[in-house]
Amino acid sequence: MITDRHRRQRLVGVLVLVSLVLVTVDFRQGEAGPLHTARQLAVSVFAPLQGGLGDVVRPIGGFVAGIGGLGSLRREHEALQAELDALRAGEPALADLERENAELRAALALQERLQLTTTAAQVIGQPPDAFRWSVLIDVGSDDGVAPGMAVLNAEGLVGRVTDATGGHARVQLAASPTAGYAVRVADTGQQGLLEGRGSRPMELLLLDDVEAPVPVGSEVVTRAYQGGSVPDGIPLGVVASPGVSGEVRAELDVRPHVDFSRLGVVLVVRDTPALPVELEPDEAGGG
Amino acid sequence: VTRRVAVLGLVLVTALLLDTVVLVGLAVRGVSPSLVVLTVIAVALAGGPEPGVRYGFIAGLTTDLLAGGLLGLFALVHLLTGYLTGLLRPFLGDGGLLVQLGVGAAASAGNVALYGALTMVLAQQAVTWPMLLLVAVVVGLGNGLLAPFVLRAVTALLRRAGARRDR
Repeated sequence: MITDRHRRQRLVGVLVLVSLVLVTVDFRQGEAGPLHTARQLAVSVFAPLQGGLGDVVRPIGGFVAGIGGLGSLRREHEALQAELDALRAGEPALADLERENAELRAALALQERLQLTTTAAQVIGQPPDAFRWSVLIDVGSDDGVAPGMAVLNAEGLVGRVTDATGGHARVQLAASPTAGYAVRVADTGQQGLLEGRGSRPMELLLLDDVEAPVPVGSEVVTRAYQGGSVPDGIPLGVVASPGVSGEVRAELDVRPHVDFSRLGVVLVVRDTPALPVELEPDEAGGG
Repeated sequence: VTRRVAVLGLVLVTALLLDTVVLVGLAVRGVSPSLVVLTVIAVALAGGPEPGVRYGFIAGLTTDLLAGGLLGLFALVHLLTGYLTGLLRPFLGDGGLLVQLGVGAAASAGNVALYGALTMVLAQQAVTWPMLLLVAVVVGLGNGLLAPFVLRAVTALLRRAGARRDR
């Protein structure tokens, strides 16, 4: 009995130690090394299973959700309808933006012309993490997807690719508390930084004209900067509260357009060479 | 023994798949129950601390490899969950429905709270206190409700695997 308990305690001790060593190594090592390889291998083995099961249960899940919440099916239908409308409405707007962008770039004598080259992808199951502010998609480096690329859907910006294996990629959602984006208020042109705060509204830090009032309902869009890989003018959300303004900066709540808990088809923007200027280092904490 | 290992592997893969594909659809504010944690609890209740620790470590490591967080964190938290739940076993009596509900909820809430707290320590801004509370409550309640099913299923599977091995 005594030896039994000793053996058990030794087992716990050894495994705790192994875990701590792994955590330390992973904490130090970051984006490279054997642990990273093991991780990519595990994902590439597991993701097809997830995709397969997803294909099977997606209709069943829809049915369960339908009886689970009254009128939820109708809501889903309305959401899909709205998505379709947004897609239709977004087409001319996107073309308009593209043209405007091309003109501006020509004016700036920039050689390259912005053309949104995108790859469509399906979100295949979130990673098993309770604090999950990243998702897995079914395209990877074989499809030309690389870390740093922006990810959109019909509503607006979804996030940014942080990691890509052959056939899959991980997307850090814009709502992740470790995500930050350069933005501007579409109505007023004020520049700012938009940070995710998980399931709460995003936080907009205004960096110029902090005294100027920002009306509630103002559109917040992405702002391209040199070396960044996020296209200009992608809608992110609307200002939801007047917020507090201080001497140097003002903080406002922004309600994102994208429903991060119900992601289906997304588009990865491949047009700009991936030169990610990380505003916040990622992957350190399950984000 | 090999049959037991195979059964546990199958249980783990099934739980991971259901967690990531099916239960995500039932998420409340982005948080959904975790079957993997429940299987750790189930194994510990069925077999005691030692199987709980071993299975918890393997399940945690697999989860770590598939999740975006720090590698080894789930392994640590799950193995401790398996150990502590296993130690509780002698005090739980008949293991009736209420006991299963309670242990499933408490151990799951403790598990995610510990994971969240460790994440907070290691990567401060990724987790906030309200988020931690929300996750602990949602996972605790969800897992508590699922616990009787998972505990019974895993116990039955293990018993069958064990019996065939012996005779």
